Amino acid sequence: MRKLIGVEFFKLCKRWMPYVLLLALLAITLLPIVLDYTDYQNRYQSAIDKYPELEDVIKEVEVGHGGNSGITVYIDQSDPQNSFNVTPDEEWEKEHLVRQLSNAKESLVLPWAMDGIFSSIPGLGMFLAAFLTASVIGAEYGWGTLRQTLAKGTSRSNYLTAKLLAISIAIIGGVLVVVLVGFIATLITSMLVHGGMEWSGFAGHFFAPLGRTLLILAVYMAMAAFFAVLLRSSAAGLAVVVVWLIAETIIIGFMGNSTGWLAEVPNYLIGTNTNELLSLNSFNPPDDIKPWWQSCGILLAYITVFITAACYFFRRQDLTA
Amino acid sequence: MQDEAVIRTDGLTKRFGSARRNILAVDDLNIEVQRGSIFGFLGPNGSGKTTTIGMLLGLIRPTSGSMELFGQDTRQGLPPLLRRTSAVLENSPFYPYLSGRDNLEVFSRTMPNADKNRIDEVLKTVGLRNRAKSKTRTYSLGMRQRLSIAIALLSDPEIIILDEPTNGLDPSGIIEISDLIGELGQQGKTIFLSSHLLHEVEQVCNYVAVLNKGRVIAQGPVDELLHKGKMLQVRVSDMDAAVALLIDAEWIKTIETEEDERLIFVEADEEKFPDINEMLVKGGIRVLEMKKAEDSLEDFFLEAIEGKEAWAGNA
Repeated sequence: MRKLIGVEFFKLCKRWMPYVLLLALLAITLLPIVLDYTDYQNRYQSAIDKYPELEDVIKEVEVGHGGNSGITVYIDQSDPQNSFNVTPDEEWEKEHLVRQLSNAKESLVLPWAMDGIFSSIPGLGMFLAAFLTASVIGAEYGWGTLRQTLAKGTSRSNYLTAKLLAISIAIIGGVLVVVLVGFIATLITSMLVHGGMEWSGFAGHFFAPLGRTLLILAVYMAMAAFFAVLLRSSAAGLAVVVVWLIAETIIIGFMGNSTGWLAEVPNYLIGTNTNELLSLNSFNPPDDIKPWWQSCGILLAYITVFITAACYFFRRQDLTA
Repeated sequence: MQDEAVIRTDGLTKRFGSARRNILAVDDLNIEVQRGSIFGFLGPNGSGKTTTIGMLLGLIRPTSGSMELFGQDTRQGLPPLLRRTSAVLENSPFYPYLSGRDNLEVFSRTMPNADKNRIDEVLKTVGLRNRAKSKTRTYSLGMRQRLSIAIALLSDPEIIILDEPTNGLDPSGIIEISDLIGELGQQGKTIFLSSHLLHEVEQVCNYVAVLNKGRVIAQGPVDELLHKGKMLQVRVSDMDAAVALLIDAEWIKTIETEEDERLIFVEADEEKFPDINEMLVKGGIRVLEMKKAEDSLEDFFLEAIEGKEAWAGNA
């Protein structure tokens, strides 16, 4: 099995496609950081241009309290340094600017910036995971190399298992690379806008979101694997995944407004549960979501069904020329 | 040739499609391939050759019937048996983004008994050493076929299954591949050669099964099928008298005539051919011409698939 996984990696590493997908994921993860930083710098510059006395306040402002609701802005009027002569309007504007900058800072300072990274990755990552999986599995049918390999005495179960493991490891590796690059990028922004990162609560902003992200990607990977095997094609496999996503959106739209058991259906769809997990990765998770383990359970059930079905069909299908 | 069947099928049948609308691709196929033989699997396109090979290699599930490889029922576990075989599949499937050498590397790693150190050797054998680093998408069809054979040779298999190995090759490529197959046969490997090219099978194989519409319509040693060395073609002055004279000889198996040409075709053991001449001359019949008559496989094949040939004996 280790040898087969090695072969799959060898093949994967020799293709340009995984690198392009990784670059796309890196771009989609780093772009918001760059944009946020640029936005922060613009706001900061215009704020201190207008109110130079705010410079120290902004530097010292606390972040990480979950957006507006928890932001604490210290403009201590009793402090002689801050006892500037302001009108109520100016007061309000200053506080508003500081709040805005505080919010903007939150996406740039670690560990809170990890929330932004883990919100970016699954959005595009699920398509990329599906694309990678459908492409790696489906192409073997198209090229005929699947027949060549199996004709050499590789068992079908071992072959598919090795392929899925190799894809899984590639996806995990890719996500870790993106997270690492994102971490480095936000470490730099943390230094630039906050003078450093906060270590407290880092694990909570890293491990749980990473787990949720990988679970979301795993569902789409399993779905793509199943359809690529069933339809024996990369394009068809990926197309069905996209159609599935669209269909779920429509179903959620229709059934969300219905009553009785129909209204319950969306709760068991992939999209609903990935969205719920995804919302836990965001800065401000909503309060009205079901417990994370329910969504995880449903998604794990989907993964099991897709992988089992893929194995079943793969073992039984005729591989004609 | 040792008397051991390394491939045996029994009532092998494959239907594609649903129960109502299906295509019978292979129908009750019974073949036996002896160790060390070069077995020709001959049939027109669409006759079921590739489907049969697919079933032998575990790529296609038979609808009914059974197969044995090396005397073991494939239902007991095909992968270990396949590791003792190699196949050159139709259209030579490769990873187009990998070089020839990388393709060999990939396939050698999936074959437990393949020797990676033989990559250079097999590349040299098939004449691809100079293009080993080129991506296979740049290969010509002939190069792809040769690379396919190189992969088959990596593991030093006991059986080599070749599905249309000369398909699309130019005449020199066909000769090269045919020579290579002959060499492999001489090394004692069992060759299962599927082809629709009659002369290829006739030249290379010593045993042949003819397949048409999924059924074996004839099989046996090539020599026997073509009556090689057993038919004597004689042109005589009086055909009826010649037949009357020869018909009583017990050692003569068959006599056929062709009146327009005053030809008789006598089937007998080769050592009896001089006796036929002697009988005719002593009987006062003038022998105008005498030569060994050999059907070409093409003649046989066309007769067989048109249903004119009733022979379907086993060796």
